[in-house]
Amino acid sequence: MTYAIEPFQSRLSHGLPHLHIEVLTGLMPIFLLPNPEALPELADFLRRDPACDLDFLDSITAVDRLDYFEVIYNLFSMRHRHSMVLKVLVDRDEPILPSVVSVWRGADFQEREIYDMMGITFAGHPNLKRILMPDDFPGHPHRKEFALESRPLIPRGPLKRT
Amino acid sequence: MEIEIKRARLPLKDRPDIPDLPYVPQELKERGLGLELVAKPRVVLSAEEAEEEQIRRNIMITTVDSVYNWARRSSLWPVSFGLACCAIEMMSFTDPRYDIARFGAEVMRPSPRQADLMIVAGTVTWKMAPVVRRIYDQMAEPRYVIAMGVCATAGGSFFNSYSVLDGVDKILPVDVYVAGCPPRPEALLYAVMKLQEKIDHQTILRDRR
Repeated sequence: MTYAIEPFQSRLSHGLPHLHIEVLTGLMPIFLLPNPEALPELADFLRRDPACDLDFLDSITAVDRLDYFEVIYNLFSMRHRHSMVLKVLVDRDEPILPSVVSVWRGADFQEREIYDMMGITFAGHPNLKRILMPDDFPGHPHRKEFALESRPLIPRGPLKRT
Repeated sequence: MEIEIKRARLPLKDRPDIPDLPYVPQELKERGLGLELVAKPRVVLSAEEAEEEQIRRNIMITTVDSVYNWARRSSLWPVSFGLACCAIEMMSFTDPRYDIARFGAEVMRPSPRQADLMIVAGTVTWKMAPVVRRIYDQMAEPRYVIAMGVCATAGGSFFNSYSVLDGVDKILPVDVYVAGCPPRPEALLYAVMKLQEKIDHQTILRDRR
């Protein structure tokens, strides 16, 4: 479970030079994809390239930064035992992202959960419907504007002793 | 005679001839609710009142009632309805250490049509709520419900959350609530015993519910 910049940065600049993937350094290197349309091409490359060989999708999460959504992919390679964190920024007014189910099958339920909780639509998903909430639930609970106390608390007052 | 019979029906506060019970809180006395605190009411009836009471109770039905209730409470078969962590405690309740089969719940029926007790053990989400109601509707009467754990009682630690139903009594009538997160098997045992006591008080006559 090592997070390293190499070999990913060199392989990406060699194989996909037209995508300008930034590397954010900090506690761990994070690969940032500025335009979400290139995601299927990038995912396919990361899986097929023999030096990267990221064949296991650990998880997909989404974060609501108030101006945009961030979708975070955690990838792992069984053969090389290295990991990579990939972030994609999604527009908040029209949250659509291409689905990576054709590359990693484990993305199926994860993307359904992100659709349920954040409202990000995944284009190309075979069965995109709500997974935790009932099908006719209004709203997406993990967004910042969703009021968590969606039902008002009825104040009961102090307990009376009989 | 009519006046004397009516006197037996008066609430406690209007009966100065009845001596004071061992302890009754003052507010209860004013509201006339002291009689439930003793097992048998210490009311002395005259001969006519006693006869009237006996005829009204119908001795035959009382005996049938007690046999019927004994049979009902001694073989309560639960439908296995473990939803979350409380299910683990319910499973340990069926294991040999705190044996549920001692108290009549010999088998946990997977089908609700063959069960008469539903122990809702765990958190009920909004998505699961219609399913819980459907299982309850498929049980044949007389059916009883125990709400096990704080999640089934009132939403528990997920109270007022976006996905959790605040207590299963919003969708079904509950007979016994058990507090705990999760309640120990002994607490669930106490709940089953309380339910058996509740079953003791029911009757097969329609008008004397």
